[in-house]
This record gives sequence, C-alpha cells and structure tokens, in this order.
Amino acid sequence: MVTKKTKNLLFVFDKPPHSSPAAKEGLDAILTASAFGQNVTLLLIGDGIFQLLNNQDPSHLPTKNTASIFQALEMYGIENIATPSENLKNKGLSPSDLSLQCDIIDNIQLAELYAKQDQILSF
Amino acid sequence: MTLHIITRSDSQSQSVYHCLSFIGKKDTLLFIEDGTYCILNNHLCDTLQSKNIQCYYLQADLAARGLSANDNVLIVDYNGFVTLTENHYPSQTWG
Repeated sequence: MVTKKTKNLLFVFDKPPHSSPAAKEGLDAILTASAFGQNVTLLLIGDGIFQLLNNQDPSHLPTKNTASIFQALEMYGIENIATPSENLKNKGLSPSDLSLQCDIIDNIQLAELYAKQDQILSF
Repeated sequence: MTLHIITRSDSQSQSVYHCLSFIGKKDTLLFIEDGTYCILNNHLCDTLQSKNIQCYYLQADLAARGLSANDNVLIVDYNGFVTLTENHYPSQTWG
C-alpha cells in the first residue's frame, strides 16, 4: 500500500472557548500538522464559531486566551478556515462579528469539503 | 422562589428549555459560563421577556466570550452572584 506523505486533514472545532481545553489542544494539533506540510483546513461548526468572536476578554478566568492564537494561524500558513453560513445564521452572527476572515460555505460546499479529506479530527 | 443557574449554551444543553417549561414568575434565571451564549438566541430572549422572567448574566463570563448585554437583561458581578443565591431558595445549577 502506498501511503501519501501529504494528507488532507480537516480539523473540526465544535465547542465554545474557555470552558474546556479542546480549542488549545486542537490549535496545537493543527499548527503541528501544518508545520509538517500537511494540507490542513479548520472548520468551525456549532458553538465552535464562538472561538472567533471579537472582543473576548477572559482575563478574569483561569484559562489561556485562545482567541489570540487564532489570530496567528495565517502567519503559520493556515489559510483555509471555513464555517457554514447556516451556522452563522443560527447563532445570529455576521462575518463582522468574527476576528478572522473565514470562508462562509453552504451545505453543498461543506459536503465537498468533507469528501476530499483523508482524515478528520474533532476537537 | 427558585434561582435557576444555567451553565451551558442553548445548543450544548436543553436545560434552559427544561426550566422554562415550568418556571414561575417569581423565579429568576442566572446565566454563567457557557450559559451566557444564550444572550445571542433572540427567540429565547423574546420568550423570557414575554414571560416576564428576571434574567441575570455574569459580567466576567460575558466579557470573556466577547458578548455584550442588552437592555432586557441584568448584569451581575461575583458579589451580585452571591447576593442572588442569598436571596433565592432553593437554587439549582443546571449542568
């Protein structure tokens, strides 16, 4: 069996920030995968989109501010960041509420995104 | 009068809907932690307002999540949180 050296990896974040270390772990994983030359895509779905809300100030909480790490993704070459338009609508959010520019995709594009992945990792 | 403390978002948990189904007019809701995301759900907020239920949000948890309050809700700090628990009996923390 021939193993591809470069894989399409989809990182799915579906949890909100601050209440669990999921995003921190996911960010560590996506940054590592990207550093090893994998084709990575970040998908924010459900409450995961709250990771990108503007003006988060968790200084009163004992957790690390992951919002600032999302800002660094582009610098590390991670440019494929997507969220379903339906999800934004359900949460009452618009792209201007988000701290990063992401691809707003419909459900057909979401299905296409899944279809081309080699591995899907959920955080 | 009961204090219902909602700790999870409306998509993580049905808890806010569970207590809405039987909550009394003198009862109070307090949204903390991921429960503060409920403020983005307009339909839910309208329902709470139409039922005339007092809704408090914990300021530190709103700020941490980049959320802001609106005119229909009340904001408390940690001392206000303690005062609410002193003034209500019993209180339930919904997981």
